[in-house]
Amino acid sequence: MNDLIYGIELTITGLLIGSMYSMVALGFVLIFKASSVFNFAQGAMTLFAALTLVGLIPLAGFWVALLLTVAVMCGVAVFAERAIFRPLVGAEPLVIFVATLGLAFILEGSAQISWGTQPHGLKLGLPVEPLMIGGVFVSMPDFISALAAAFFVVLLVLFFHKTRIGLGLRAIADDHVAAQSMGIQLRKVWTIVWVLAGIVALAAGMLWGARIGVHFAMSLIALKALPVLIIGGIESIPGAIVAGLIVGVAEALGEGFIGPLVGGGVQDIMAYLVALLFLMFRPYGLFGEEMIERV
Amino acid sequence: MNREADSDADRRFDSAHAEDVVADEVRDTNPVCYRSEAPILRTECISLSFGGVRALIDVGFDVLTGEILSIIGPNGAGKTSMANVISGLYRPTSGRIFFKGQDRTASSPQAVAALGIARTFQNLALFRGLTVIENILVGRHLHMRTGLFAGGIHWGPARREELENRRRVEEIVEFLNLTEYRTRAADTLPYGLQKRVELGRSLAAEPAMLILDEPMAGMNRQEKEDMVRVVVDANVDLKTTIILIEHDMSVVMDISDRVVVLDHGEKIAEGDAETVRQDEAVIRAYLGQDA
Amino acid sequence: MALSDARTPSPHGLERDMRYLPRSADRLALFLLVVLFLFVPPFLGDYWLKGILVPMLILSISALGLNVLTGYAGLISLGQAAFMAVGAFAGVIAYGRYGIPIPLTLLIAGLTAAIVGAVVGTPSLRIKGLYLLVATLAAQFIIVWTIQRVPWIGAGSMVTIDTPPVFIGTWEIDTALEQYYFALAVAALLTIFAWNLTRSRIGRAWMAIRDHDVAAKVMGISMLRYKLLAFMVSAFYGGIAGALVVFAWVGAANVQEYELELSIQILGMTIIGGLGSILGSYLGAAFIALLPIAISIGMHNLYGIVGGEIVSAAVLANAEHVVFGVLIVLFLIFEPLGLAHIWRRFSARFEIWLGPAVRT
Repeated sequence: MNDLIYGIELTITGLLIGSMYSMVALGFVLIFKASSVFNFAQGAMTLFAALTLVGLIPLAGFWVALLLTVAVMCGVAVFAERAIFRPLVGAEPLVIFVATLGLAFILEGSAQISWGTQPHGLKLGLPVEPLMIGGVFVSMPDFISALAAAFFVVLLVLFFHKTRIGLGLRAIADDHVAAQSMGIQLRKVWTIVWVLAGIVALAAGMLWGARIGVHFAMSLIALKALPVLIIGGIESIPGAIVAGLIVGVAEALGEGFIGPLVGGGVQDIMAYLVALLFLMFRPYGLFGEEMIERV
Repeated sequence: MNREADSDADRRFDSAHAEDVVADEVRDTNPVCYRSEAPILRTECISLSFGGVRALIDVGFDVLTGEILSIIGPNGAGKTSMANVISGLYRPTSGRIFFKGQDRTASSPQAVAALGIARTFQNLALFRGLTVIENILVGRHLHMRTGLFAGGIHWGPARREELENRRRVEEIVEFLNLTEYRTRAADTLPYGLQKRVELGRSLAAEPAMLILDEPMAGMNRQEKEDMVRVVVDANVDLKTTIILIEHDMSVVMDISDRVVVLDHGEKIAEGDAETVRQDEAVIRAYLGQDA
Repeated sequence: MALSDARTPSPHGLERDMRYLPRSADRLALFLLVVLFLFVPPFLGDYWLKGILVPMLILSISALGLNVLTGYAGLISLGQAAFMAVGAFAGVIAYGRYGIPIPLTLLIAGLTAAIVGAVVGTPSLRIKGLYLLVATLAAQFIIVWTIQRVPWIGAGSMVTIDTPPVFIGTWEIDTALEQYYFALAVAALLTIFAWNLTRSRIGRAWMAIRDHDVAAKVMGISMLRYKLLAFMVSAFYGGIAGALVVFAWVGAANVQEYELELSIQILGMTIIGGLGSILGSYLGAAFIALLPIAISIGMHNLYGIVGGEIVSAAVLANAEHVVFGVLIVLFLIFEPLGLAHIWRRFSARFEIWLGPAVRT
């Protein structure tokens, strides 16, 4: 019985954390769908955004700092698109992927040169008393973070499905050439996509920063969006959302039940284990479609 | 859907009869999509679907040892699909394929290659980073044995084998008039030459049967004539059975022993060039496309 | 000159096709390098040997392995550091715990890594590109995690195992110079092996898979065999490099040295050096090994000009990251074939400059 309640608590915690994975993974999916860029630098962007924010807060106060960080992320996005990805248009996806590796190193390095390598706390002033629902404890900060993440997820999906720009993105995802001939400007759209990625990174950086502090490990956490993507199916929006939740729950349960047996740290690899299982048995993910290769 | 026919065929081929006996039985059971001479390759009632799209519907024909068989048909008729099925790249949804009397419906592409079937592709499929010689050397892959250690040490037998196969490659290079391009990177050659290198690569495998998927597409008259000569030489001198998929009717009519016509995934005619040319279904298929 | 090439080569000509270094610039450069690597190090201090040359050789071996996989077979991997970790621990256990002679220990380290490599490579039969990439990323995390937690390995909470003094026969390798020559000998053997291998039937099969896997299949090349072989060779080289870290460099196997960052750096080396080039693996590793020194000198001068204080190690490390990232991007955009291609262009020019008289 105790195990059951513990299991339920872990599952809820997992779902709450998973919602943040969903959000980051969704950022990946949007970029990937619109520009075929598999963005390894998303983790580094998260760290970069969070470090910039906590660095600016003491200088300018929270709201000004937040606005400034948004502006900085837009700058990063435009820089990345102009300086790195535009010259590589038409290159193989793997080449572009490696370029995002380079971008990740640039962002991590420059953020830590600017703001130092020490971990920073980030206080958003959220209530800390745990919720008690039917005998099950739920962490209040996690709950609020999850709400925020869910809000962002809904926002992104709406953006993608309802706005003109979002529809343009989807047209591009379906067929680059056709979209171009319909007068959709690829470059403008790509810039927008990168800005979007920057904003998602900032949101993730804030939520995780409030939870675990702002430091280097954050980029590794955001990197888990890659296995999440594989689990969900690389181009699938619902896939990213569901897989994020699955990974969150698997991590929480794994850490709770298996962790004590092996000396902890299960959550560090859980996402990758699940992704490997999928790659072995269902390589195109929960919602992905196997592509038929034409010869 | 061909379950019964399949199990019949199982019974027949499991006991590995002489091919001609089999062929007679086959003709009796299903006259529609079998042929009856002693074939090197037999395709039986091949169907192929992608999702809901039916690319091939009950196509079957024999390829006789030593002949040039052309497959023609309008765009989207299923010619390349058929080539892909024969070379093991697509697994047919139903139907069976026999090569030299053995069922190889489920064989992988490399198993098919090992049986002695080589092919070229409609779109260029050279190894871009390799030179002309290296490309053709890859064609020798199945004739070479060098493994990991021998290859890494490159001494004695491995070296001799490499030299011997390079010698064979040079013969092909000369045969195809590619000598002055020997060490050029394949992707720096003009289109027509790349096609020729691809042919050379497949000839290097010394296949019993060669599938050529539109080897002359996009070529000018002179290049086509060269190519025709090479194809006929390969057929006559090297005794290679050839399946030719081609759009150029004059070429097809000139060099084919027999012609199979596909339209919308179905076989609509088969026979020698003259018969096929006068076949009403064929005329309709081609006129229908033009109109 | 086209005329003389146009004849079908005699058997002698075939041997000429198979020469290792057809260009005189290449032969000259190799000769100079051999002289340099053999005879100059005794005159260098420990800082150069332990700080630059030995790690450079070790990273070259690892990069060479990854280049076989990524450059030749076209399969990208973010797990090379994990294979080094496997080799390091297999080596330290074989030698330290069971007293297996060093040459055999190196082989065991390589083979253990190769077996792990085969397991990691298995998904490559069904997936490629980005999917495979995530599989190798997963392997990177899971392997390092496992090494820390399997009690038999004994890394424990210290995550590190020291090696006893290193003997080959009765020769104790304990000075920096001895360690350098040890690493150099291993690197030379592995380089010749890889050089031959990539020019052989196996290497051509890999490049065929890389350039057009469908065409490779219908030429009878088995994806199963050659993709796994590429993963195994790549991991074998990584494993030996890992063992050399223990026996010729730091004297201990430490899990934390083999994180994702090292995998990315090794991938970066192969890209900057040149994918699909043996020479490139060395150029890339040398470039990355020398980079921190260049940055350090540059930063100190820069701070000297602006009159700042002494540059902290953390800032230097991060500056290296930034420069490394910028270099990767620049090479991808402007010189995707890497330093090796720059060299090839130069040596071709050199050949023309020498004129036809020298060409035999």
